[in-house]
Amino acid sequence: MPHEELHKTKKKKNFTTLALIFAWIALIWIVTMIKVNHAG
Amino acid sequence: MSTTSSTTPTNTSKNPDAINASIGDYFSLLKPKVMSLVVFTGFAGLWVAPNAADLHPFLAATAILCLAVNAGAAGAINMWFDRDIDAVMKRTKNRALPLGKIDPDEALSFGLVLTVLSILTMSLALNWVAAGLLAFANFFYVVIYTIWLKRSTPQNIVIGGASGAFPPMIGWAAVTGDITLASLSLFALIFFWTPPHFWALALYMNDDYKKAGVPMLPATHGEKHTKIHMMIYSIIMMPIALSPYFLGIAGTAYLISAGLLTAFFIYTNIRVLFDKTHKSAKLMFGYSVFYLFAIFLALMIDKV
Repeated sequence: MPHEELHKTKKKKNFTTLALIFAWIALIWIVTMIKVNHAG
Repeated sequence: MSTTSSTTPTNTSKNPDAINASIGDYFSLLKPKVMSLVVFTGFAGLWVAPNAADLHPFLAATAILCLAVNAGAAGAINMWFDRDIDAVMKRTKNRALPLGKIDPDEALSFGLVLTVLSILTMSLALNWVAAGLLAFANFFYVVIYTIWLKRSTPQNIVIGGASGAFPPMIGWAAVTGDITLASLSLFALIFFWTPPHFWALALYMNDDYKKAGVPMLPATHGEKHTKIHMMIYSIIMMPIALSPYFLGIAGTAYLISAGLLTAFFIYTNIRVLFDKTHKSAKLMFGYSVFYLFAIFLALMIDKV
C-alpha cells in the first residue's frame, strides 16, 4: 500500500484517537479544578 | 493503540479488512450490553451509598465513565484472548475479531490502554479504594476468569462471576472510600445471581460450548446436576436479596419488591428443573437479566 493511501485510510481513526486524548485531558483538568475548589 | 502490526505488509495482506476497522467495530469490542449492566449496577451502588448527595455530580459521572470504560476494556482483552473459541461458537462468531475486522494486536492494546486510563482517572478523580477495586475487578475478569478458569473448570462462572459483582461495590467506594457490609451485600447479590443466569444460557447453548471446548457444567456434569445447582444458588439469593433492608440501606418498598422478584426467580428455576426441553431455560435467562435491573432499580427508587 502506498504511504499516502495508508494515511488516508487511517485518518479517521487517528483523528478520533486525538479527539479522545483531548477529551481525557479536559476531563482531568475539570476534575482537578473541582478538587482544588472543594479543598479550600 | 498499536499500529505496527496492522501496517506491516504481512498482516495487511493476511487480513485486509483489519486496516479498515470502523469506530463501531472498536465500540463492539467494549461489549456494550455487558457494559450497560455494569453501568447500571455501579450507579445503583453509588446512589445508595451514604452521603451520595455530597459527591460532586461531575465526579460521580466520572466514576461511572471509569467503570464503563474499564468494563469495556476488560471485554476487549477477553475478546482478544478468546478469539479462537469465539470463531467456532454460533453466538460469538460474528464478533469483530473472528471476522478479521480488527487486528488482534490492536484489540489487545486498545483494551490495555483503556484499562490503565480508567484506573488512573478513577484514582485521580475519586479515591484509591475505588481505583483499587476497579483494577482488581479487571484483573479478576481477564486473568482469573478468561485466561485461567474459563477453559479449565466447570466452576468457571462461579468464581469468575465475582468480577461482574464488583460494580456496585466500586460505585459505593467512589462515594465513601470504604468497603462495608452493605456494599458487600450488593456484591453478594450479583455473585449468587451469576451462576443460575449463565447456566440457564449454557443449558440451551450447550452444543455451542461443547464445540468450543469450554467446560460448562451442563456439558461436564449433565443437565440434571446443573439444574439442581442452579436451584441451590437461586434459594441462597433470597436472604441475600433481602439483606439490604436488614442492613439499613433499603426500606419496606425494596423488601417487598425484592421478595417478589426473587420468589419469581426461584419459580422460573423450578420450571427449568422439571422441563425436559430448553424453553424454560431461555425464559429464565431472559427473566434473570430483567431481575437484576429490576432489583437494583427498586433499591434506587426506595432511596428516593
